[in-house]
Amino acid sequence: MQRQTRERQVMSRRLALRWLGGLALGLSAAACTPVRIAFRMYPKDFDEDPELVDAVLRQFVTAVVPGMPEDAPDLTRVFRDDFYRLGKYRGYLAADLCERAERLNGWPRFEALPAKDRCRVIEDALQEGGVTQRLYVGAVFLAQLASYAGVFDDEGGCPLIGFEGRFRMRPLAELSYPDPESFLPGALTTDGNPV
Amino acid sequence: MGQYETDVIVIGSGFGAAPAALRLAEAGLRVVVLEKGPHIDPYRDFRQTQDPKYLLKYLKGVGSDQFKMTYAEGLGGGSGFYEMVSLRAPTLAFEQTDDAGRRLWPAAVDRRALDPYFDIGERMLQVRQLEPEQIPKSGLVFAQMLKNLGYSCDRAPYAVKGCVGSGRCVTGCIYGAKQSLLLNYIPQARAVGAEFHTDTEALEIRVRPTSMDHSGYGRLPYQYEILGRRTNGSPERVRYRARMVILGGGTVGTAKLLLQSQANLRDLSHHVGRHIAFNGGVKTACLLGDRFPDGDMYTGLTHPGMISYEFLETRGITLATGKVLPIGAVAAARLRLDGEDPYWGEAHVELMQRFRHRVIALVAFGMTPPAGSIRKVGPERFRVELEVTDGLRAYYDRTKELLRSIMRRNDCTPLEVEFINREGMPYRDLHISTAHQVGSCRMADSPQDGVCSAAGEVWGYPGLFIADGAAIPSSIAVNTSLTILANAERIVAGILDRVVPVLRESVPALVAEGEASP
Repeated sequence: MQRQTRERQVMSRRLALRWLGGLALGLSAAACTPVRIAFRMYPKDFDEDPELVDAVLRQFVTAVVPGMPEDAPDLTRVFRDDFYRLGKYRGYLAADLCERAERLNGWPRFEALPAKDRCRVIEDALQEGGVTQRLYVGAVFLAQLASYAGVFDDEGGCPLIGFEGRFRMRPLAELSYPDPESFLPGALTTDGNPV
Repeated sequence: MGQYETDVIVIGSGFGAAPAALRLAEAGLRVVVLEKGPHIDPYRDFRQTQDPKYLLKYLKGVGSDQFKMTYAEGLGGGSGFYEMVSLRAPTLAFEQTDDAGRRLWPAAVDRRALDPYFDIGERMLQVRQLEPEQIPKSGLVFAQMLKNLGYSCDRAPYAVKGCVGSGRCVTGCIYGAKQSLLLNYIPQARAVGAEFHTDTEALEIRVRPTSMDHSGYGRLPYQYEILGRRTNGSPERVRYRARMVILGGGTVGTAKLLLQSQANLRDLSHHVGRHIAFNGGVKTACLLGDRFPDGDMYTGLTHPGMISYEFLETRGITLATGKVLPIGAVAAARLRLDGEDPYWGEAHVELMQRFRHRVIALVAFGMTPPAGSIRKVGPERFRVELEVTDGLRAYYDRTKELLRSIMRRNDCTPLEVEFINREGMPYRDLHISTAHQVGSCRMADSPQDGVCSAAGEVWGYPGLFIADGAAIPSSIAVNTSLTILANAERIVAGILDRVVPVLRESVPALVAEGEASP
């Protein structure tokens, strides 16, 4: 009889633990990034208002690459372009930036924060790990790629880092130094080929 | 289904394939070249752009977290996008041995044997050693770094004529200065009748004994059938038949094709896809010290013109400097002046603003062992692997430390360089990325050791040849293009000597027809 009672107690403890485990799993699933993205668990505005998303992402790019002109027409194009896999998550990314802005600064408009606070929001997400970290690493990566390389502007390149896009003809002499011999050490070959 | 019968099928149109197309067409054979990638007119199709959509149209990659191989798909193969530095493999490269002390290269192939074919390749590509005044700023700064330490440095030979110094070579030369195969081998092959079928992927090789197979035929007992498809969206399937097939689709392409054909080619060696060598590329960068003048990452020849053999004998490596356009810098690595700095934001912009003129990248290529492999894991699915040994890790650590020591002794500040994957995430462990892969179907003196003979002929399959980088059995510590080209010329010379007379005798009617018949 005593044994049966103990078994029942053990069973009920097991059940309770399972139930609690399931509850924890459910709660974490509800909060985790993939679930929130899959079920669009963020304010609808970020799916329905492209201007809002663009405004948020412009301030994201200028935090990642400070000095990029915030009114540049192609500044956020990389997030709208389906060729880059992040495009379909732009609504979530903008919503998440605003949610973090509210949590960290008490103000749900990421796009209105000063640069220092926007960097803090991004850093917060990058530290989170898991899918959130991957999403933000990818977003930072794409913002840098599109900005520095001028991928949408072959003519303009990226003036911020002195990349002029396509080559403008210049005399060959400008591309070298007038006294090249003075730079050269002794050579081991007569024709440049290893023996 | 489109069906074609011809004398020779050449698969691929890059450095390993183009010599076969030209020489065999010159010999009067009907040659059809199958190229998976699109047709390229260098004056019309190349663009000076950093747009990944353009670049990824031609540049492809296959790999894993540890090992990634990049190659090109398009008419002319990698030649449209290479850096034009055209070097002969050093004598030492041919002397490399495996763990058991056996020479990796077949006995008949060494530098001396290849030299006449290097001559041919250099003539075709108009290779010349750069004059001092042609060396771009970054190359001169690199030379000065070595000079300061008492090391030697040589002016490199290039396949270029009429260079304007745009520095955009790797996106395709729009000036017609880079001597890609699009300007020599391919038009010359066309002029003597070779047909180029672009947007056509060879999927599978089948073999069957020919009805004409009787005594007297000897060397060409089989007819090969290539089953393929169009890659331009057309649903058309294609079938090509010939007595001779030259595989020139590159280290990755040739291995994939043979792996997909294993069920049909039952005597194929188990070495297919194994022993991939990768030239042990070690890359790092530094901020130039005050005593150096500016370099220039973005203009001048893309490869900056200088190469050092100072450590070739002692460490089996060559040193050069790499010039990197912004997309290359951002897509490959996180750069930081200090490990504590973030890889984005103000500090990163400041570094990128100095990148063009005050950063120099040092690159070492080495004779690392053939430790890579590619294997088939499902229909048209492949897995790339690398055996990372303690020795390989030690090579990377040692070589990186040498590069950083050269930087520090020149009062330059080594940068923290963290290589990243296509999602921007850093690799957790040693990651090797290369465009110098060779050896997936290596030549060897016996079928026990390789896939094809020194003559390039696949063991057990007369008339089936491998002429591309897949046949090269080892790393060579310098850019691979000219060595692949020279070896292809050597293999084709052997085919012309020994095989073509048999082909002519055995199929005179086919040869006389002059053109491939649909």
